[in-house]
Amino acid sequence: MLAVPALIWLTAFLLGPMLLVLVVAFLKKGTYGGLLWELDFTHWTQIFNDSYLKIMFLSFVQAFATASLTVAIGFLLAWSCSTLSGGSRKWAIGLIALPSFLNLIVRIYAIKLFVGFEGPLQGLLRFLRIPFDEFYFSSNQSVVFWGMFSSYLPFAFLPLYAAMEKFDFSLIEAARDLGANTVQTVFQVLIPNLKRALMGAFVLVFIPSLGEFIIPDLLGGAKQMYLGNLISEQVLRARNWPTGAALAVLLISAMLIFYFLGARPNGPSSEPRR
Amino acid sequence: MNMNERQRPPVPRWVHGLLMGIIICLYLPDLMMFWRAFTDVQPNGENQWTLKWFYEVFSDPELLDATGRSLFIATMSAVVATALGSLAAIALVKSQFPGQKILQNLAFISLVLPEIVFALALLGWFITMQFSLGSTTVIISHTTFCLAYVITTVMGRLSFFDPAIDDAARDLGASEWQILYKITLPMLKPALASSFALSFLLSFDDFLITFFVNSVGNDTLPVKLYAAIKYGVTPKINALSSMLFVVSSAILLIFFKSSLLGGRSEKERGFQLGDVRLGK
Amino acid sequence: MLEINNITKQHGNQTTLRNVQLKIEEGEFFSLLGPSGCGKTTLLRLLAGTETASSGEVLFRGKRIDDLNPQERPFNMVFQSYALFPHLSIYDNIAFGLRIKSRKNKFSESEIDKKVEAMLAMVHLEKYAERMPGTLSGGQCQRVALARALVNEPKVLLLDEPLSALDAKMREVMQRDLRALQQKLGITFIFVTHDQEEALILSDRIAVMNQGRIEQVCHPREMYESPQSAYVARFIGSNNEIPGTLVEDTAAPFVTLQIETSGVQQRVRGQMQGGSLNQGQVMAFVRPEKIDIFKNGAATTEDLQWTQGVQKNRILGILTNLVFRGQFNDAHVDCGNLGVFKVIARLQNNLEIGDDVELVFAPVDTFVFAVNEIE
Repeated sequence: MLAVPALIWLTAFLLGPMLLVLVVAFLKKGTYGGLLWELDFTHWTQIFNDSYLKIMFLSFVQAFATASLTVAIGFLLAWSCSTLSGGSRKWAIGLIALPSFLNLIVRIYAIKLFVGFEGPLQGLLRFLRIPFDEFYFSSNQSVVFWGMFSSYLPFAFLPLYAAMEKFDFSLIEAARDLGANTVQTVFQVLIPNLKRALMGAFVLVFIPSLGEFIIPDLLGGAKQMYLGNLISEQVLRARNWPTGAALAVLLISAMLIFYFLGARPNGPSSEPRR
Repeated sequence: MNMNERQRPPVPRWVHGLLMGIIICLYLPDLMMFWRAFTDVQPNGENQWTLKWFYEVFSDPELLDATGRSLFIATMSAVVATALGSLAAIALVKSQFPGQKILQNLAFISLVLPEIVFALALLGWFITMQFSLGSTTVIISHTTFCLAYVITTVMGRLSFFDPAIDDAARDLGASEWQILYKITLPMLKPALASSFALSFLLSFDDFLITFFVNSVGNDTLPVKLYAAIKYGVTPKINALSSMLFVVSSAILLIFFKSSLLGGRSEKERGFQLGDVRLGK
Repeated sequence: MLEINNITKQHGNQTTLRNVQLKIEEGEFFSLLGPSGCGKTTLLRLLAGTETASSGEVLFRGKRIDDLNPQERPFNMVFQSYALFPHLSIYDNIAFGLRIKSRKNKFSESEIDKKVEAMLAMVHLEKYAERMPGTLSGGQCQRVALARALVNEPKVLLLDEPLSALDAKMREVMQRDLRALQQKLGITFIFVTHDQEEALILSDRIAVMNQGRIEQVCHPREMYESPQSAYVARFIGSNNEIPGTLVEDTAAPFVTLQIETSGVQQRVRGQMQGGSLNQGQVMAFVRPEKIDIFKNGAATTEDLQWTQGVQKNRILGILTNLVFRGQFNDAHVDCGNLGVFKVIARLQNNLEIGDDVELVFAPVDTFVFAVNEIE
């Protein structure tokens, strides 16, 4: 009974809204942006047209790339941290994790500033007399990617670090003892045993980045929209609720698929492989 | 565990180098922003150290308004989320009740759901239910997504409690309510404090959901920042951003200090319990 | 004064307690003894009220208490992990129960203070009143837990393996103190332990439990000297075991078994314990300290005689090891197919490793049980 208030709250403000989205995705758009309570599927066919598909594809690619890179780098960082000693380890972890608690807008702004007209990046290029287009950096997908990477890195890093901390390093010693070099040790001992954590971290980054709005919006300029921006535009600007909801449903479906792929109960990977 | 740590084989040098490099790259833009906050570019091209921008921030009524609003909303959201969430966590750990599974699943969903979907759903819901948009809807929304973090944090802490303690209290005559407020809640004080801090920060920093469910002209600080970035940056934004950076870091250090001093950090424990998404 | 009638407890499809029947007297130090999983802690918790029985009843001084919740029972418990409240001082921990009850009985703060101070003195922790549990050692925590329970003047004190987390030295001290305390206060103590030596030292009576059932209830000495089942015999003290086949014999309760030692058939007499034995496989047990050890041939006719016309049991072996234990030696004797026998050798200083020896023991010290009783 202690939990009743929380239960009611979440039902009212989470379950309810989600169900609403599901329903709205199949309704018809009214003339002035409202909703007509009749079933409609036209916007679904609209969604699967070229430009929307392109956006979804790009979002997928970017999310996948972000997740892959953050997990790869996060893995190396976690490995590095887990072999450091007390004091420096805590500093390293703290420094990597800290940004995730700070305002995203502030961080993205800092990046924007950095690559902007008066920023050091352009200053450096000018200094080195490398020619470039001043506007290149203001709506550049690589910058967007950097924003994604640096924002999501802590989320990949922390679970990997937690898993690595629990990892039995004597397995590595055993491998070395049996003659494996570093590369073989990493790929045949370290990674297989951490498979579960790796997949978990991947999913943890992949799902939210699919629907990312702020980073592409602020760093990418108006040029390239991703799924998050598209949804926002449909709902807030075009007032096209059914389309927006339909896209949201797609996003949720993708999320569920990847979640279940990544969260399969693991047998072999939870036991050390010798 | 310590034995294990002492025996850890060292990692190739370049990996540590990578660590350093990444940390530097992550912080470089922020450091530059700091620098900008304190410099004023003179007509002759020189940089002069100044606090001018900070004064401008404090004398901008709109910014101050927005800050106040953010603080108010963050406090209210944190209070409600911490209250509801901690009670729910206690119930989840200590008893079985109908709807338990639903609660756990809902909490989990709210952690992994992409913000845009959340924002869209809440806006639609408020419109349908004919709630007028404003600070209240923002508070409701923030509380909703903070609940899961509170539940996770408090449940994490509770899992370390000796179950015999409740039995001992009962044995000594305490009723279930007495156990709650004389034993459980006092023992949870650190977890409650960090849940509060976490919720506060999450709410204060939130942009997307606020953007969707707030009314016009009622902007919170992140929304103001966003608008400034999109439509016209002035140097005082650097000052403001730097201040936010410092204040957030300070709150973090205060509340999570215990974790830095030894043992597992709250963040790490939170992450161990599954998918936890923090601070966006 | 405490009657446990036909208690059964089921967890899902596992039965933790089966038809437990016990009577515990006022002022007893009563131990529940058994290995992990035998149900002794469950039974204790059932008495405390933190668990409820699936069937059966518990009577205290004639009245049913199994339907009362823990707060209402006149018992208090000392927990294995001590379960001290970490956020309260030692003083507040001890005063906790009194303060809760002061709602009803209206203890004044000064009355509470007197009681708590008295308790602190009793467990020799007067100077520790303001300390926090986290700063105390295991032994000190244990005493606080004890004080916290006793200050409420319970009619029965329940103790759940309270000494298991202490080191050997501390445990010895606490055992002495606990026994002294119990005798001084005159309260009934119900003590759960898996350590048979501890149970033998402390208890007025012991109940040995096995897989949810009570195997035997009696005084320590009786339990040691006449175990009623192979389980109890194995649990209490150490044993040497001799398998054999029962040979019909009318001198009950003494029976004869046919055994084989290194290819030689011989007979051994023993005392039947509980129940009846049919023809068939049996196991005889004899304790190390009940065996006399002689160099082969050195035992006299007197040494070998038991009663009129009846000889003691005699088995041959080779001495493989002598472990010095101060007051006596542990002798290990290889008896061929019977395995290694452990014997307590006292003043046999003329024994050397490798000697042929004879082990002599009386039928009355040989317990015989049917094999199907033995798990």
